[in-house]
Amino acid sequence: MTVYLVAALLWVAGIFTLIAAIGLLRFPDVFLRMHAATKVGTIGVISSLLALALYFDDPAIRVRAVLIALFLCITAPIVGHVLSRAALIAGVPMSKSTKFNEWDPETMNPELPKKDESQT
Amino acid sequence: MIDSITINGVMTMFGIALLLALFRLIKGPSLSDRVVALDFISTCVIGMIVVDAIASGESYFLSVAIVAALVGFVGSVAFAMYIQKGSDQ
Repeated sequence: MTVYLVAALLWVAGIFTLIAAIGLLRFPDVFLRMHAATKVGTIGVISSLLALALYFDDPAIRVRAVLIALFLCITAPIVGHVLSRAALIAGVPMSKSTKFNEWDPETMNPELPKKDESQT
Repeated sequence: MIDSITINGVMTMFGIALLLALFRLIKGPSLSDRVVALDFISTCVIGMIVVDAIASGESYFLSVAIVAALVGFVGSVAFAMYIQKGSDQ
């Protein structure tokens, strides 16, 4: 029973990682590519780590698997945030299908309510 | 034991994902695209190490996976700081 669960989790990990790689290749923009690579890739690897923790009976290996999963959970959002902030500051162009950029006052959608600076 | 079809199939999927990320790493229009591809490659390598540990029944390489996760994180943050500093000049 456990073997089938481990095999299913491994297939889920492979499929998610492949989808993340296709998104990394096909999305038009660095911000969208980051969205595919950090979230979906992390889910894929965490699924394979869950399979590892189910497959071995040794507690030391299970602790190691949970440690790697926890570390990936912490670091993937940090990397996505820091990289997208650096790309935004460096002026990497967005794709043409992006509706508006909230950090750029010229292209910002005028229908949006403007922030009151006295409150912030 | 996990059957060899699962191990080989999942390993092939990880390999194809690595190849696609390598294509993005070579082609990427900006430096940010290349750093994103590098981060994804380090994540993929961790997954391949885990699949290999399940296939062989040995757990020696799991420490390598921890170190790969650490080095990938520090490298990505350092590259991000480099991109940000390079835009100031």
